[in-house]
Formats: sequence, C-alpha cells, structure tokens
Amino acid sequence: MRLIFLFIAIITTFSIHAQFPKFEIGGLARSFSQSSHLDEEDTINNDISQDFNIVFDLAIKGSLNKYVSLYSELRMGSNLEVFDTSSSYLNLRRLLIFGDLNKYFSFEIGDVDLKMTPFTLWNSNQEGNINESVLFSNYRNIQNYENFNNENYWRRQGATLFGNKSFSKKDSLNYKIFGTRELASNEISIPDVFIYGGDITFFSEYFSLGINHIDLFTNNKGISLDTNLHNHVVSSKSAFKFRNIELSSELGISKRTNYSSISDSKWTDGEFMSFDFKTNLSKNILFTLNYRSVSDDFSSPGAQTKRINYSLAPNLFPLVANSSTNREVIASDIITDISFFRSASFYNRKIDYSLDEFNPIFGVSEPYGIATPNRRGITSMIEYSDSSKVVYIQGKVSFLNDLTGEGVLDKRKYSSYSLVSNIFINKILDFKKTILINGGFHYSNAQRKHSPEIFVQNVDFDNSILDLGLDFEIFKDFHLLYGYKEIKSKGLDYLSVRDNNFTISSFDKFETDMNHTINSIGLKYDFTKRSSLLLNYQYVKCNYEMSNLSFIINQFFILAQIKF
Amino acid sequence: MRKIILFFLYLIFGNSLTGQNINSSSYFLNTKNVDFSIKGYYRLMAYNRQVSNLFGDTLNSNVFRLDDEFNSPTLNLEMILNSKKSGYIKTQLYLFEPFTGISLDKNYLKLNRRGVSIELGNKTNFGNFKIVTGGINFLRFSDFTLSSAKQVRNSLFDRNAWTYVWPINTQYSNYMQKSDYTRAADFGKRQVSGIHFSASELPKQLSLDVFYGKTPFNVSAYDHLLAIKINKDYRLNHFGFGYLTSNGLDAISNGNQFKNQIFNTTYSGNINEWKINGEIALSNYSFDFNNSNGNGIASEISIKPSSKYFKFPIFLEGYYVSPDFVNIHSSIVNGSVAAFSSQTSSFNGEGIPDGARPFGGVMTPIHIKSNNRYGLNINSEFNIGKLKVNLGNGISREIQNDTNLVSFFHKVNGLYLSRIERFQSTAGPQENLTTFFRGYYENVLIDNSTNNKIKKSYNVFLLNLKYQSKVFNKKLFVFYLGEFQSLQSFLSPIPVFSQKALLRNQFHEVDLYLEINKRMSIIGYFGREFIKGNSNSGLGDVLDSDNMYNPRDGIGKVLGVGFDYSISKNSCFYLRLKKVSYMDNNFSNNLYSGYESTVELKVYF
Repeated sequence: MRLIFLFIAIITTFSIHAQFPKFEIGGLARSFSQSSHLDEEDTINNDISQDFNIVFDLAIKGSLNKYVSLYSELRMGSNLEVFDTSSSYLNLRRLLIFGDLNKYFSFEIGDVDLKMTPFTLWNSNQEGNINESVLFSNYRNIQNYENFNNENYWRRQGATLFGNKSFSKKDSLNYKIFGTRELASNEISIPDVFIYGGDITFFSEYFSLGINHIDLFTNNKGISLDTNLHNHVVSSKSAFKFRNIELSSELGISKRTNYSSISDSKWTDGEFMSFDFKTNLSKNILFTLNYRSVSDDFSSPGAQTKRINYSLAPNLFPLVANSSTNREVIASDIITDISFFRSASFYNRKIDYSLDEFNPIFGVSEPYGIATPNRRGITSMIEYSDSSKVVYIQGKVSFLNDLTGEGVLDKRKYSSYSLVSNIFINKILDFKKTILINGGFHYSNAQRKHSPEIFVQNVDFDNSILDLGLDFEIFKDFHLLYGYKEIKSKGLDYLSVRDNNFTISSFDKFETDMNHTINSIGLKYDFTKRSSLLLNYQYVKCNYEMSNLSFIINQFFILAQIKF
Repeated sequence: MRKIILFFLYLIFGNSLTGQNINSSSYFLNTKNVDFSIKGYYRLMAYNRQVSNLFGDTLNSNVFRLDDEFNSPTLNLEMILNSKKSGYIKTQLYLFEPFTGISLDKNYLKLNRRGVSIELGNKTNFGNFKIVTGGINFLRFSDFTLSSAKQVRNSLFDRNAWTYVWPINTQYSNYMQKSDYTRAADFGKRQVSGIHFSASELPKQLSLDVFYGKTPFNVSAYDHLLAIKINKDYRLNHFGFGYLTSNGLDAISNGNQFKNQIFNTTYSGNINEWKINGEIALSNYSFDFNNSNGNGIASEISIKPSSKYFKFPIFLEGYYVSPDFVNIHSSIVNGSVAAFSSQTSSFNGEGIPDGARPFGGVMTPIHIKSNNRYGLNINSEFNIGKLKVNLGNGISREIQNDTNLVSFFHKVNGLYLSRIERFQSTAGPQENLTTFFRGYYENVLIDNSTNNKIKKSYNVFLLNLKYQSKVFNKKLFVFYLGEFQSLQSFLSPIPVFSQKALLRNQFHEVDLYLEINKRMSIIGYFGREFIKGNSNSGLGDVLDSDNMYNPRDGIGKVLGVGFDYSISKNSCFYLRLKKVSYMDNNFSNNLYSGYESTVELKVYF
C-alpha cells in the first residue's frame, strides 16, 4: 500500500527537469465483458456466465541514477458487475530493478524474463493454433499477457547477471547466469525450490559456440523432508554460417536424481541431439530441415513444462451436459476463458519436476515441443513470401518415431503435416483498405501396430486443426472480422504415466472421437493505432462421440483496449 | 576453475563504472513521458454523536469517528493519463484513515468506487466517436429511461463528501442567484458501470448514445442493461428517440427470463418563444417464472410560456405515469409494480436495493414523480424587493386504487437517524422506518376499508425564500425552505391542512449565513418537521387522558450552528453542531434525541 503511495509521490515530487531520478510512465488498460450461455440440454449445472472487468496496468520506469533503473507494473482493476468499493483492487503486478555493474555486466533483480534454448529453458506456445484469425489471436495475446508468457520467455522471480564482451568487431562473448525461486518453503514439510543456470556463447562472423546449464533443485535443510531433488540439463550449441546456408546443432544431457540420506541416490540420465539446416533456396523461399533424437528419460522441466495446466478445469462452465465431473480444457477456453486473477486461471506458471499433463485432443506427436521425450525423426519446413507481401505460404512436415518402445517393443510412428497461408486480397484487387484471408491446416497421426498375441489394440490416433480468418476493413479503421477453428481428434493411444524417477510406470488408455468448432464474428473499430473497441459473437460447439457428451456455448464479448 | 573465477571477478570489478544505456533482457510495457496529472481532495471528517434516547433506549454510546459513517474517503486521488496517440485512462484512488489507533489495520488504500475508467476518442469527417468504459460513471438519457431526480431546493447546512470547496460566501451567493446549479457529477444522473459509446456531430445533425452495463438496480447474477438514444437537432428543436432494455435471468442455472423495456421519444424546443420539453415513453415488463407481464405509458410536458403573453414568470409541468409503467433505472419512483419493489421475490431471492425508493403511495417531493400517478406542478420564481421567492405547487392523484401502504420522507431529521441506523429496512419501534444514504422514510398502512374506497390524492407546496443583506457591512444570507405535503381522498388545489387529510407533513428549514470576514462566516440552521395523520392512517398504541388511541403526531426539531473558515481558495475548515429530536407521543417509544457535531477540513487540489 505504502509502495503505491510512494510511487505517486515519486512521480509528482520529482519532476522530469531533474536528471535523476527520471521517471517515465505508460501502461495499458482493458475493459472486457463476456456473456456466455450454455445450451438448454444441460438442466443441472450453471448455464449462464456473465463477467465484466476493467484493468489498468500502470507501468513506471525510472532511472534512479546513471546505472540503476526500476520498472514496476501496478494493477488497478474493477469488477464492473458489482457496485461496491470491494469490486476494485490494487495489485503489484511486477517489480524489477535492473542496471549495469559495468560495461560488461548488467543485472536484473525481481520479476525477470528468462529463456535459453528449446531443450533447456523454453516456454513453448499453447496448443490449438495454426495461423488463427485475428479475432482469436487478439484474445490469445491477452492470455499471454495476463500469464506473463512473452514469446518463449518464462517470467520468474529471482536475479540474473548477464553481459557481453567484444574481442573484435565481429567476435564477442555473451554470458548470463541466473537464480530464481520457484516455490517458497512452508518451513515444515515443503522445501524451497530453486532454479539456477547460465550460458556462455562465443559469436564470430561465421560460427558460434556455447554451453548451457540449468538445474532445478530443492533445499530440504531445516524441514522434515528427507529427500532433495536435482534436475540438471547441460547442452552445447553450435552454429555455422556459410553464404546462405546455416547449420546449427544442440547436444545435451539431463541428470535427474532424488537424493536421500537413507538410501542411495539414483541418477536418471537422458540425452538429446538436434541438428538444423537452413537455407534460402531463392530470394523468396526459405527451407529448413531438422533432425533430432530425444531419449525417453530426457528430463528438462524448464523446456517441458506446459503453459496450460490440463489437470485443472476451465472457469467457464466446467460442468456441462448434466455431468457431475469437470470437462477438460479445450481450445475455446485457452483463447477466451480469460481471468484477471492469477489464482483463478488454468494457465500454468510453475516449473516443477513432474512431466505436466497434456490434452491428447491437440495431438500426441509433440506435446512438449521439440523437447518431447522419446522422439526421433526429421522436421522440414518451406516458406514462401512474394516480394510485395501479397501472399505468404508455409508448409511443414514431420516424421518422428519413438526412440524406445513404450510398454511394448514396437515403436509409434508419428507423421504431421501443416500448411498456413496469408493472402492480402486488397493488394491483388488494388484496394487501399485491408482484406486479409488467413488460415492454416495441421494434421498429425500416431500409429503403432501390435502382434495379435499380446492382445493390445493398435495405436492409431488422428488429430487435425483447421484455422480460417478474415479481416475486412469496411470503412477506414472499421473492420469486420471472422474466425473459424475446428479441432478433430479420433483414435486410440496409450498415454504413459511416469513416477517420481521419470520412469514410465503404467499407461492410461485414451480413446476419443471428438470434434470442436468455434465460429466467431466481430466488428472492430480502431480509435487509434493503440486503442480499439471490439464487439464479438462466438459460437462454440464440442462433441465427444464416444461418451455422448456434447455442448454448445454462445458467447458475446466486448473488448476495449488502450495502450500507451 | 580458479582462473575462470578470477576472470569473472576481473570482468565485474576490474572496469571502471562508465556511463551507458542500461541493458535489460526483460519485456517492458511501453513507457514514455505521457501527460500525467493528479487531482482530488483531502477530507478529514471528525464526527461525534450522542444519542440520549433512541426509541426508548437511553444507553447509547457516545460515538467518535473520523469519517461520516458512510466510508467516504480521507484522500481521493484522481489520476489521469493522457496520450494523443492512445486516449485517456482515468483511475481513482481511495485512501481511508479512520484514526482507529495505530495497532489496528483499518486504514487502507484502495481503488474508489469509480475504480478504473478508460476513455477513447476519435474525431473524423463523419463524426466524433467516444467510448467511456469502466465504473462508476454517471449518465442521463432522459427522465423515463436513465436518470435520477434533481433536487434543486435544499438546505446548504449539511455538507456532503462530494460538496465542493468555495471561498466564503460563494456557495450561498450561487444559491441566492440560482437554485438549480449543478451540485455534483451525479446531479440528475444515474450511476452506471459498463461501456458508453457516443457518436456526435454526425451528418444531418444526428447523434447517438449507446450504453451497455449495469446500474445498482441490476441485481441478479445475469442481469444487464442496454440503452440507446438517438438525437436529431432541427434548428432550435431537439428530438430524441430511445430504447432501453433491462433484462436477464433470475438464476445461473435454468433461470427464468425477466425483461423490462422502454421505448421513448423526447422533444425540447422553442415555439414562438414558448419553451417546451416533453417526453413520452412506453414500457413493458415480463417475468417468465410466473408468466406475469404488464404494459404502461408515461408522459410529461413542461411549458414555460412566452413572456409576451404571461408577464408573471411561471413554469408548468404536467405528467401521467400509468400504474404498470416501471423503470427502476429512471428517476420515476416505482410505487405500483410489486415485482420491481424491494420486497419482490421475482429475482430469485435477490432484493432490489430500495434505498430512497419506497413502494406504495409515496408522498413525493415536488422533484420526484411516481408511477400510478398523474399530476400538475406549477413553479414560479420572482422578486419582492430584496426577497427572492421561489415557489412550487404540485397536485397529483392515483390513477387506480392501489395498496394501502403509503410512505413519506423525514426531510429535516433524516440525516441524523440514517447515521445511527444505517441502511435498515425495519428500524424503529414500529419497524416501519427504512434508512438509506443520508435519509429515511416512514411506511404507514392506512385503513384498508378506507383505502379500498378512495383514489389517493397528493399535494405538495414548496416555498423557498432567499434574502441577502448586509450587517455591519458584512454579507448576510437568510434562506427559508418550507415544504407542505398532504395525502387525502379528494383533489385539492393546495395541501390540506385539516384532519380531512389522511397524512399531512410540514417541513420548515431556515439557513442563516453571516460573513465575519473574508475568511470566516458563521452558520445557523433551524428545522422543524410536523407529521400528522388522521384516524384512518392508523392509530398509535398509547392511551391519552381520555383513554383513546390517537393517530400520528410527530414533531421533529433540529437546531444547528457552525462556521466556515477558509484557509485558501480551495481549502476550508467547517464546523457544524446539531441538536436533534423527534417525538410522536401517540406511539410508544417513537422518539429519538441527541446531538451530532462534525469538524471537516477539506482541501481540493
């Protein structure tokens, strides 16, 4: 509380005429109304949901002196459904102090953003998106903002020291170390959980070479827990560039242990390798090829942790179709089930030891991104963009298989194909106002055939995602938007269940035949480049053939946004 | 290893601190030197109350508070961020310091009721567009759609949390000159929370307003309001067309729908120097849970005749609001549609906060209208020498015989009791008092057999006298405000002052302000209220000397003194002392008495 008052005092007391401290302010504000109706088939559970929130994140960036700066985000919000002072609140969303120790070292302490490589520390995107409509990406951006998912960075609380040193005009050394606290001990039975890590990379004109290390560990000193966990991941990365060809690789190992004073600690070792080839086939065509092999016991919490906690239920209509058990999180929830309170969100912000649950309806081939354990194979992508940016096309194929058979000797084979495109119709027709059609299609399949003697059904699992979008600027700054998304999932697979040692201990048979569609239409008016109003109607349909579960949700949204 | 560590130490500490741009790998929101301003007020409100008798209870604690019992802020900060490229963001911080002792954590800082409000705007060749979203904002569309009543004649002795600070005498001079000056941001407007879109200066002199959100009277879990207003200007005439729907479901599971719609049209203009304002509205409502519904009509017209024909200044207002016309978001009191009253079960257990909205036959002040009523108000303002006379006479009558529940406001004593019995609906020894924010009203059940035979008629007469003079070359203001009300079975041109009236009330208030010097003035206040009923308005439970029960005969008295001390143009110190009493000897324990004192320091910045 006093901190807030202090901020105000700082801003008003110290005018910008003084050199230091020097403050800048900015921020964003959003007003979001949602009104949702569940279909009339459900006669037991809640079938209406209405919420209207407004938030204002006041960003304050201050240069305290020549070397040290401060950045803070103060959240002020109101629930517009309630006429009471209790509907308004003040929260500290972020506090960070940062600066330069000298010209080679900078530091950040507080709420820091961290990222290393896709195998060590990497916040993979949430599922269900293949170049979706601007209507959906609009809300997805809000979800990412609310849950601190900036690109592939993880927002952590801790400190980092980083910098670079140039040896010549073309050679430099980049380095970073960090330490974060993931969980606070209750000083009785739950230990503190920390992450520390670092990387150092040498860059030259034609090549780069570096190493990364990260460790997630507990500290059980002073509490009743006997075991301490460690999960190290060490990797080396290298890249070579020659004319228009780029070759890169990352190779590494993971070491995971559960140390106890009364029993021998057992290290579970995993390893991975990844090689990339990238070249411009012509001025407008880019081609990439990746080969990777990730062992079944490769454990990297920083790269394998998911953005969505699929063990939780959605906030919007968790019970549907007269059911008394919670439904699973589906694509429409990931996009529009927005909560402005961290504790109420099914979005995940915690990095821990166990391999997170995933929802197979989004596909089973790469649920943990390219760090998914027990995968080997190739992925290739080709991109085309014409010089006037009228058409963009991207095609991607991936052929993977299990490195080790799971439960049986046979290995699954995974194949996936995707195609995305953006076409600016207005440029073809020589219109000034935007007419954009965008979309994408993704199909993946997992298969494993068993011999009849073992009496286990074959694995055959299909998944597809279709996205279509339209952005039609009717009048200046006034847009008609349309979005369509369809996710289909059908087949059978056995989902591995891992124990505390990361070892597969059992399997859950998963069989589904589901179809999920979202139809969305909206009108958007851009007051300025940084402020807009969106009116949006959305029709969500979900059907699970095997369990006879189906439901329809009609939704209406109003979103006003302003950014400084 | 040792060499590596030494190398790192060398890198960290081996270089001198030289100036540079600070590096960071974190994500930041865009920050810059936006136009940032803070305004607001500080208000220290010390309050002391002694209640020597509260409905027969003489053991009442002496109350000291550092607020005015209604949690108004000690410090109110309105922060505004403005950027030409983006728009406005406004927010209001609320700091509360009730001086409850340093060991208690009762002081706090939080967002005020307004919370956060965003304003986006764009001026184009087609028109000007603006969005205001957030809460709480204030809106007025029209009398029958979205509004609250405007009270333009009142005593200035008691101060509000939002009353502005003026230099000495300024407020009284303003009131002397003009009764209907804008008192606060919510004057005549309805509190709203939601999103308001307005388009002005459209082609053909059109403008548009759309509001979606809630008012405090959208009560159930799924309940919202949509209001649309289209205005068209033609020369000096203004035409308006509107639609309002307040609807929802009474439960979040298998809820039944309820709906209240208003279609209205307004006109204001000048015809041959006759100023005319009018509005006609149609309403319908329905509740699925019991298949009930109703339709109503409301109309009003106010005319200020041309001075060519009427030399005497006069202002006429006629209205007709049918029994089934209902809109709880408007300034119209709902006295006849039970489904929208505070006692309703229509909203599945959610009660409509009645506040200052009694149900039944309401003895309405002249600035408030009720449904199931038609009436005529005549207002006039003229001078007799130095004396400014402002008077109003209102006659209204029930359209159809309705409930025997009637009610009236305690105008003089209201504030005092509302601070003691805060937001109660069954206060008092007869459990017939409802307290609301800064006031209370009393419910009366008139004799049923009488009520069944009559159509109730209401009268109100209001006399406001303002006098300004000088005493020892210092300004003196004397204001008198008298209000006379009656309720009876027959039409009468003026209030009935005899036992023929079922109920009759009188309220007399005298404000006195004397300037001492440029910084100080002393204030005096004297108020009386007389409540009288006849034998059909219910008899009390106290036997008189003739061994008879008697009807209502309440007398209230308030005596107040105080002073204003101006520290600067926008900061002032106010002291108020009030001695209050009310007694109705015909009802047991229907009495209260005591005093209250307030010390207020208010600084606007």
